[in-house]
Amino acid sequence: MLAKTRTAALSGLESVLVDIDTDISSGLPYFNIIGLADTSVKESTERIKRAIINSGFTYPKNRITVNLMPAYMHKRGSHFDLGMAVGLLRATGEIKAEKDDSHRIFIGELSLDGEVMPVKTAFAITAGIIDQEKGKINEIIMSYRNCRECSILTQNTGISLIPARSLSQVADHIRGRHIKAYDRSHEKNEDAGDTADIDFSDVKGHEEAKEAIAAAAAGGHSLLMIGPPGTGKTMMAKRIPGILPPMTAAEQIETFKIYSCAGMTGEDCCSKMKRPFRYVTRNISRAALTGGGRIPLPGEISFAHNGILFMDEMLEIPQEIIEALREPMEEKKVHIVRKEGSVVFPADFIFAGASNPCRCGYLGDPERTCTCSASKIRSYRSHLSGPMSDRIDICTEISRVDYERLMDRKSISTAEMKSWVETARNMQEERFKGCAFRCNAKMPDSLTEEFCRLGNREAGFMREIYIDHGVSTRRYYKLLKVARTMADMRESPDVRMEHLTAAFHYTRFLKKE
Amino acid sequence: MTGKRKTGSIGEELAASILQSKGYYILRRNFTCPYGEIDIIAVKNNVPAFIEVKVRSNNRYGEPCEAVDIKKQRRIKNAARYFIAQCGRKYEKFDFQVMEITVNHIEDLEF
Repeated sequence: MLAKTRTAALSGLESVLVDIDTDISSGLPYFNIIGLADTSVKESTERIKRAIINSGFTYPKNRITVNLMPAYMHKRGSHFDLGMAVGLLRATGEIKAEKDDSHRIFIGELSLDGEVMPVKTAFAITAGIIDQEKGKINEIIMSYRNCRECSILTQNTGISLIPARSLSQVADHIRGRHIKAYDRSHEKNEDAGDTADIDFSDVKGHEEAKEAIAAAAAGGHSLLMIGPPGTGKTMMAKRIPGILPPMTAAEQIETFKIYSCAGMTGEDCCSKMKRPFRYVTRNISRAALTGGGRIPLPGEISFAHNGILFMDEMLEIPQEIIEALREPMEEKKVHIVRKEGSVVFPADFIFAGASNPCRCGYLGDPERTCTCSASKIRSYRSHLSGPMSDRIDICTEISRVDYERLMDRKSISTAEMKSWVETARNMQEERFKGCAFRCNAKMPDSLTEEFCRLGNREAGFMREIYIDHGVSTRRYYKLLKVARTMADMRESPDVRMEHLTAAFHYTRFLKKE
Repeated sequence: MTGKRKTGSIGEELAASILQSKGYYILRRNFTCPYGEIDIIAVKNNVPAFIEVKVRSNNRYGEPCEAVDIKKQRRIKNAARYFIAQCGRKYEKFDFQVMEITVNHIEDLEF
């Protein structure tokens, strides 16, 4: 007998409906899965067999052939179990139902005792299905433990989410003893909450750097911190998550999807998702950074989507790995091309980096002398190529704090910086109403004329900079945008001289040879 | 003969008589060659059938036919090739079968 059921498979971030054909024919007992299934899918034969027997159904003594269509697409993951088991039960006649299963999809792994287990990719699969195949189905059956996170996607779509506990319960559901659809209304909307236990006030002094960091977080600008070892670069970086504005619901879904597709979600719901802060050190590989693998998975830059990617010891990282960031930083997404086809992962992150000024680390330090030769310094700096440094909006030099400063009780705290960020974000929100972008860094160059209107004195200053300092066109517009953020942080409707000079000040290091 | 072998030979005896009653002509019993062993080779309508007899007294270790794994299948196939090569006749079709015999009750094992 032949039976048809449905599930879905992930290809990158997109979901594809997969038809499961189950056929039982005469022959020696054998369970064969075809349709480019990888090991995790092939292993499901044993799980399905035990789950069916332990749920009290009979398991056929014949030859079973399962075909997963479309057959050209690679399939992986354990969520095919439930669909295949139901198909098998239909093929053996254990489940007899009038209606076929073409309007529902099954997502779930089976344990040996027949329990429907949650899968980490459920969120990404559901999101993809709702985006692309919405009209074709009206019911998704998955483990009750996946329903909470996925219900945010199915609300108001007309698709009912069926929380399943066991295979026999699913069988009853198909026979007509329906399981109640998941009800989201009793769900409390949990907030991400503030749990930052480290505060910027732990870092004494560094007012300039803190302003730069706040500006980067407020306007979405890329940031580079340069300074000798032990001055607080990493310490400050670790405190950045505390000043980031909360994510919107849409942003949470986008980012959570990426984590789900890589199987990196925990028990937490997507409404508890915080703006990601990804910390990358020098031992990272290129594939881990941009995403990759034979079956493409997202990398750190995608995990930092809508958040911050922080590269510590940036100039120690091989240049080719740093250069790999160039296209994603411009396009806000990354293409991974494989011979089976290419996938696109979003990668809209704020770049932040930290580095020593030279190999020994003490170049420019007032107390200690640098022991590097001129050529060594040059080769160290060359890790940051021209095009890459041109993409960095703000660069701040961090130097040793004086003793008086270190002993100072008062220093700028996370709360204070967060209020600057919020002020600036509100100003941008107001200004960019109806635009496709929401922060200054993403403002198209053509709109700077409208949004960063300059007075006579300011225009003269910019002219001087462009002509005398030989800045690139890209840098010219970046200066305007950073100045706009500086103005926003101070609630100034106009970009004034002090904002432009501050923006220009933060490019000092990048010009140095 | 041990009890296990005895059960097996009783099963094969039974299988042979069932086959005969179905119109098969038994060519060989326990055909052995360097490649493996075939329990019964029978012929019907000029199609030789290579039959593996599986006897089980309980289902504790799975269904009898499940015991015929890919390794056993390969041995039977090779032995069948050997038989076809040396039997001196030309056949166009061949048939491979597994006969399951489940024993409920054994009485009088003394022959």
